[in-house]
Amino acid sequence: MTEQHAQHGYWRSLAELAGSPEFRAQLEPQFQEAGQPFVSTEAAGDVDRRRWLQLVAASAALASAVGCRWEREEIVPLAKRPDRRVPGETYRIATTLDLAGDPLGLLVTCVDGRPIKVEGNPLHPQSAGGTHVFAQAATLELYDPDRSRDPMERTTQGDEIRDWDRALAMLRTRFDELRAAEGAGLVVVAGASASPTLAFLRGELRKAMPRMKWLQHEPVGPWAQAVARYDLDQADVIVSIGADLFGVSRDGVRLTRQFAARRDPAAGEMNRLYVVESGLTVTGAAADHRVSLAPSDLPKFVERLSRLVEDGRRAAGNEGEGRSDAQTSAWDRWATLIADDLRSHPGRCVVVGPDDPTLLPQVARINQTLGVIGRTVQYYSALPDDVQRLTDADLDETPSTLLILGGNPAYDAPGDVDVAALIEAADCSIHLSLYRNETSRWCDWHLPQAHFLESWGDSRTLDGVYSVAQPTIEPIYGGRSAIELLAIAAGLEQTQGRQLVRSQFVRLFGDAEWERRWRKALHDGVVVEKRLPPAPAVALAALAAGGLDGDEQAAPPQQSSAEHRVEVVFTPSEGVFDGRFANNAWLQEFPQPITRLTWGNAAVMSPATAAAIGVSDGDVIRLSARGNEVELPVCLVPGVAGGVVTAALGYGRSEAGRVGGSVSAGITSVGASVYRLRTAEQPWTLRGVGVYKAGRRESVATVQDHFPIDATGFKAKTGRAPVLVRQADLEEYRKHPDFARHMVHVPHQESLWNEPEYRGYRWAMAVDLSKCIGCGACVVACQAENNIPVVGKEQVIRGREMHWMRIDRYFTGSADQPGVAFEPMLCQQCELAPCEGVCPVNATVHSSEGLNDMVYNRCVGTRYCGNNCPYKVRRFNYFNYHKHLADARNEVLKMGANPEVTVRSRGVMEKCTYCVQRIQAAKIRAKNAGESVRDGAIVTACQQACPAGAIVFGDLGPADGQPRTAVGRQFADPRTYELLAELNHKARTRYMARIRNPNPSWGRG
Amino acid sequence: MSVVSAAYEHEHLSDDPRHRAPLTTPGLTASQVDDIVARTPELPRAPAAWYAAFTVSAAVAAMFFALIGYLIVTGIGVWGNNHPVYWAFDITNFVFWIGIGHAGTLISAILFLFRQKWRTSINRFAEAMTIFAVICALIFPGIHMGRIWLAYWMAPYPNQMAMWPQFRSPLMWDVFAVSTYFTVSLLFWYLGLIPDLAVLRDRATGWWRKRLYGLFALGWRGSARQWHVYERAYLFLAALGTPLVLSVHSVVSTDFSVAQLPGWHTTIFPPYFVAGAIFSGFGMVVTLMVPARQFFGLKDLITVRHLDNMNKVILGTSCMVGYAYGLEFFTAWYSGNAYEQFVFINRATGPYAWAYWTMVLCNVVLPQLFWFRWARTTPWLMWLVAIGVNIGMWFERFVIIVTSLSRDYLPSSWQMFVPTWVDLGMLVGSFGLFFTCFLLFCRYLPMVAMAEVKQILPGAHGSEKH
Repeated sequence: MTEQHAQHGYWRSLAELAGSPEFRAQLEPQFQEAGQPFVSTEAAGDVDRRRWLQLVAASAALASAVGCRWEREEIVPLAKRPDRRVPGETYRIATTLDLAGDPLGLLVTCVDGRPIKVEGNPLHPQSAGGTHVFAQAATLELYDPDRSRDPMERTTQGDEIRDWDRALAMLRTRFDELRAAEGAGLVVVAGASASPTLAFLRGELRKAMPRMKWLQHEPVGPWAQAVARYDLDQADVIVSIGADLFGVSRDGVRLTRQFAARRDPAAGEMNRLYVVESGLTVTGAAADHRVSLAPSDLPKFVERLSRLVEDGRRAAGNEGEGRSDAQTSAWDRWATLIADDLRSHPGRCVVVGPDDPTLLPQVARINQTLGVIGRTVQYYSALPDDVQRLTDADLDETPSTLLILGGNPAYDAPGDVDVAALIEAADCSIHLSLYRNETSRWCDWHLPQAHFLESWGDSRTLDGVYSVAQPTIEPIYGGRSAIELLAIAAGLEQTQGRQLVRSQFVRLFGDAEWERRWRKALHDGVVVEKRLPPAPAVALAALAAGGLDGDEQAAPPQQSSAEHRVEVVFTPSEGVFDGRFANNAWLQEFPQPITRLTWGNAAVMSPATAAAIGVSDGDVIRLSARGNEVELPVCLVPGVAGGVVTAALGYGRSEAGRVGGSVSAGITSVGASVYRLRTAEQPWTLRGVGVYKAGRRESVATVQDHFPIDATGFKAKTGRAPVLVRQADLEEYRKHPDFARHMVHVPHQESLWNEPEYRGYRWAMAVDLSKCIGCGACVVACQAENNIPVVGKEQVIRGREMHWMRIDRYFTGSADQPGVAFEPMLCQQCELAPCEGVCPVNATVHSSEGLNDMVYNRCVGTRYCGNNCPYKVRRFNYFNYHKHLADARNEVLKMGANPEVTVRSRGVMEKCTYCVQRIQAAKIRAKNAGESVRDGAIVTACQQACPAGAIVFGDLGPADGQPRTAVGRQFADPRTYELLAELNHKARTRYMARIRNPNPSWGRG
Repeated sequence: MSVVSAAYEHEHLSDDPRHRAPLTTPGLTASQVDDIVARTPELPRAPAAWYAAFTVSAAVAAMFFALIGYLIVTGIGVWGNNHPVYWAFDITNFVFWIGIGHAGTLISAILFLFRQKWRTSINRFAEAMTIFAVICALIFPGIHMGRIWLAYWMAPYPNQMAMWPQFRSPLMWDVFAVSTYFTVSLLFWYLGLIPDLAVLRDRATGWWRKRLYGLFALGWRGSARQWHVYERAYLFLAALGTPLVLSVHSVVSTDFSVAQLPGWHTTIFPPYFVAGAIFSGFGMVVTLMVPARQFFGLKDLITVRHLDNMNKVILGTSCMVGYAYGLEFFTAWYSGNAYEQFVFINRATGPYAWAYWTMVLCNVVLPQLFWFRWARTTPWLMWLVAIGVNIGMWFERFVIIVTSLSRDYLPSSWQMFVPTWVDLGMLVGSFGLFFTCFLLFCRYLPMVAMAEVKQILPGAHGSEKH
C-alpha cells in the first residue's frame, strides 16, 4: 500500500487515505490528544467538548474528501490546437472489434472526445466498410450506466467495494505466490481472441507459470476442431449445410459482401447458393434453393452428397433408413442436383459445413474432392495449441486461483458443465468483466473491464491481416483491459495497454520501418501493405477419412410423460449474440430478421410442427431434457424443418442490468435462457426434447404480424408480396430485364399541384433487393446515427417501435418451402409527398433538393401525415421516450447522442431524413472547398453499415442528361422500380428487383 | 297541468287532409305554455332524480377532465393508438359528437326556412344538444394533438415567423368549419332564448334569479320594434346556419376523403357524412326527448306527432346511410383498385367484422322498424332504436377510421388497434360532460321555445282552425 501510495501521489478513497502511514503521521501532531483516548477507549465520556469539536471538524474534513475523486491522468493541455482538430467537429479513430475471435475493423466517429458512432473500416478486409449490428450498437454499451465501476470483493460480510490499488495488490500477491509454485492450481478462463498481444501474454504467463491451465470458453463456438475461412469471391456455387453464413457467424460481414457482390445480374456471372438447414436463417432466405432438414438428417444428407461428389451418380442409391420412398427420392434428387452443380464448377465452388466435430471433417472431405481447399475455403485450428476448451478440460485438482477474463461462463456454459461449482471450489476466483454479471457474483473478486472502445488491443485475421484497436475515450468507469490485467499477472514491467500493443507490433513488424508503419497503422487501423503469415492450416479432411461411423447422437432417456418430442436447434441471437449484449437496449429492440421478434426469444417452429403439438403463436411451451426445463413462447415460422424447434441463446439473463434483467435489482429477465438445455457434447442440437404445453400465453413483441392473421388478410398479404418485393429468375430477367417496371399497370397521372422543379441536387436512394440479405445492420446504424429512442417491450407490443428504418419480411410460396423476401423500408422521400399536404401547421415540407423535411419544432402532433403515408414510415413519439435520461444514473447516455440530430420530444412525429445532417456537412465541406458535392461523398448511415453494399445514395444529377452518378445509373437500370408508383408520389427511394439464380434443372422432372 | 295529452294522441297523428293535426294539445293557452315550460326552472328544489342523474354525470365528466389531464401530462401513448393506427378513439369520438351536433341546427335553421312549424316544440332542445355535442366534439381534436400547448399554431394568427398554417390541410379546414359552426349555433340558440329568458325573468321571484335571467335577457321588453329586429336576426342566422349544416360535416369528411388511404379516399364522403350526421343527430334527439318529455311533463308541447316526424327523418337518413354503405362496395369493385377492394372486404370479413356488422345492424336494419307507424309512435321502442342508432353511428366512424388505418398498403405495417382503459374512460367521460351540460340546461333554461310555441297555438293568429 505504501509503495503504491507513494507511486501515484494522489489518494483515491478515504480508506486508503486514512489507512496510510503518511496520513497517520500527519494526523498525529494535530489530534494526538483527542484522537488517542477516543480511539482507544471508544468512550465519548473521555473527550471534552473542545476536543470533541476538533474531532468533528476532522471527521467532516475527511467525509468531504470522500466526495472528491480525482482520476490519475496525464493532463496534456492543448496549448496548440492539433492540426485539423476543431471543437465540435467530428473526427474518426480507427479501431478493431474482436467479437469472439472474429475481428472487424472499425472507424469510430467521435466528437469532442466522445465516440458517438461506429462504422466499418473500408481498409479492413473483414469489414470493407460494412458492419454487423453488434458493432453498430457498441457505443450504447460503452456508455451503459449499468457497467461496473469498482472492483468488488465478496467477503463474509457481503460484497465490498474496493479500489483498484487494493485489487491489483491482491492480484500481484496472488500471482507472486503462483509464480513460486510454477502456476500450479492456476486456471485462466478466457474467450476466443484474435489478439496477437493476448497470445504473446499467454505465452509469457505460461513461461512464468508452466503448470497453469488456460481454458477457452466461447458459447457460440467454435465447437468443432477447426474453423473454416471461406472466400466467396471465386465461388460460383455455394452449398451451405447447417450453417448461417451471413447471419451471426464468423466473417459474416465479409462473406455477405462477397456473396452480394455477385448477385447483380448485370455485373458478371451470378453465384448460386444452396442452403440445407433446419431452422430458417437469413442465409436460407438468400438461397436460390433451400432444403429444410432436421439436424438428425443432416449427417445422412452430407454423406449422400459426399458420395455423389466423389463417385458421381453411381453411388447415388442409398438405403431409405426408415424414410418413405418419396422422401428418399427427394433427397436423392436434391443431393444429385447439388453434386452435379458442384462438380461442374471445379475449383469455383465451396461447401460450407456446420460447426460440428463430426460433420465439418465430412464437409472438408467434399471440399477436398472438389479441389477447393486453399482456394475458396481453408481450415484452421479452432484453438491455440496450449489452450483447452473449458468443457473439455479435465481439472485433476481443484484450482487454487481462477482468473476469468471477460465472458460469463456461469451463465452461458452448457447445462452439463457446472461452472459455479468450479468457481466456488477455487480458493480465489477473479472475474474481469464489463458488467457485474452472473459469473461475477460467484467470484471472490470482480474487476471492471474497460470497453474495447476504451482500450488498446490488436487483432489478426486468420489470413494474417493485422489491425490495431485503440481507445476512443479514457475508460469512463476506470476499467482495465484483459491484456493489462494479464501483463500484471505475468509480472511484466510494461502493464499499459498501449505499450503492450506497441511492443507486440514491434515484434510482428520488427523492421526498420516499424515506427512509420505503426503510425500509419494507428491512422488506418490496419496494416494493409504487409501481411503477417496466416495461421497454420489444419488438414481437416484427413479426419473424415473413416467416414461416418456411429457418431449418432444418443437420444436422451425417454420420458414417458412427454406427448411430443422435438429436436432443438440452438442459434446465437441476432440481437444479443450469446447474451453478452443483453443489456444493450438497441440490440434487445432490434427486430430479428426472420422472426421479427424483439425483446426476447421464442420456440421457433413451423406451423405444421405447432399443429402436431397443438399450439399456436404465443402459447408457452415447456422444453424438457435431462431434467432441465425451459419455458418459451411459440413463434411460428414457415420453412423450419418438421419436428424442429429453434431457440436463440443469450436471453434469460439474471444479472445483465436494468435492461436485460437483474434479479438483484428486481428487474425481470428478457426472454428465457436455453443454455441449460445445451450439452457440451452437442452444443448446437439436442434430440428427443420433450414438449409440454405450459397452459398459458405470453405476448411476444414482434414488429410485424402482431396478430394472428385471418383468411382475408392472409390472402391480401400473399397477393401483394410479389408486387411489393419484385423478383424474377435470372432466365426471366435475361428475357425481360425491365420486368419489374411492368408488374403493375401505372395509368397516366397528373398532379393536383404544380410539381416542383429541381435545379440543384436531387438526392435519391436505390436499394438493391438482389443484394440485401436482411441482416438489419442498417436498422441499428440508423438508430445510432439519428438518436432514435428505444421504447421497450410493452410499447413494441402496442406497435410503437420507433425505428426509422425497418426491414420488411415477406414469405412467398408454400408453408413447407417458403421463399423469404426482405425489403428495407424507410422514408421514400416522395417528390409529391402525401404527408406534406395534410399537415395543418406546415411541419413537414419539401426542400429544394427533393428531401421531405420534417420540422420537429413546428410539429404539433396531429399524426395526419402518418395516416396519409402509404409506406407507414413515420414514427410518432407517443410518450417521452427520453425520459430516462433525466435520471442522474443515466446522464452518461447523453454522451453517446449525435449532436447533429435533434432529440425529439414527446408528441412529435419523426422519420428518416436521408441523414440530412450528413448531407449538410458534405455540402458545407464542398462549399468551403468551392466545389459541388462529389458523387459518393455523402454516405448515409444505413448505406455505410450495409455489409452487402445494397444501398446507394447520392445526387441523381440533371433530370435530362445521361445518368452520371451512381444512384442515377441505378435509377436508369431496368431492374429499378418504384414502390406504389400508381399513387403518383414520384418516390426518390427506389428498389432494384431481386434476381435469383436457380438451378434450371431443379424445378424440372 | 291538468291537460292529458294522451287523449289527443289520435288527433295528433291524424292524417286527414281536411283537418290539420294540432301541433300541441288543443286548448292550450299562452299562459299554460309558460306554466308548462317554466315549471322546471322555477322549482325551488330540483327533483331527487335530477340530483341523482346530475351527480353521476358530473362525476363522469370530472373523470373525463382528470383523464384529459393525465393524457396531457403523460402523452398520447395512454391511448391505444399505434403506428399504422395513428387515429382511433380520438377522432372517432370527434366525428361522432360533431355528427350529433347536426340535428339542432338542421331543426332550427333548415326547418325554420321551410316553415315547418312542428319544429317549434323541439328546436330549443335540439339546439342545446347541438351546443353540448359540439363542445364534446371540440375537445377531442384539441387533446388528440401530441403537443396541445401549441394548438394555437393551427390558427392563422400574425406571428414573428410570418408563417401561415397549411391551407391545403383538411385539418385546417376543420378548424374553420367547426369553430364557425359552434359560433353560429351558439348565437342562434342564444338569440332564440332571449324572449324566453325575459319570461323567466318576469316570472322570477328570487333576487338572484331576477338578476341573472335579467342579465341574459338583455333588456327584452317584447316591444314591436324588438320583435321586428329579433325576427330579422333570427331569419338571418337561420340562413347563415343552413349551409353550415351541410358544410361542417362535409369538411369533416374531407379529413378522410382528401387522404389517399384506401377506405378514406372516396368522393361519396361529404353527402354520406351529412346524411349520417343528421341521422345520428335525430337519433340523439329522440334518445333525450323521450325520457325528458315524460319526466319534465312536456307531453302537451312535444307530442307523439313530433316523435313520429323525427322517426321519419331517422328512417330516411338510415336509408341514405345504408345506400352509401352499399355504394362503397360498388365503387371499390368498379374502381378495379385492389387496395380499395381489399379495404371493404376486410371490413366485412376481417378482424373488425364484428364492428362492421354492429354498424350495419344498428344503422340500417333496426331503423327499418320505422316503416311501421306503431314503431314510430311507441316511445320505448323508438328509444331503443335511437340508442341503437347512436351505437351504430359511433361504430361507423370507428370502422372508417380504424379498419382503414390498421390495414393499408404494405402488409408489413398492418397492426390491430386495441383500446386502453383511458380510451374507454374518455369515451364514457365525454358522455358525462354532455349529460352534465344537458341536465343543467333542463334545470335552469326553458326546454321548449315558449315564444315560438305561442305563435303556433291555435288562436295566436285569430283563427281556431289554423
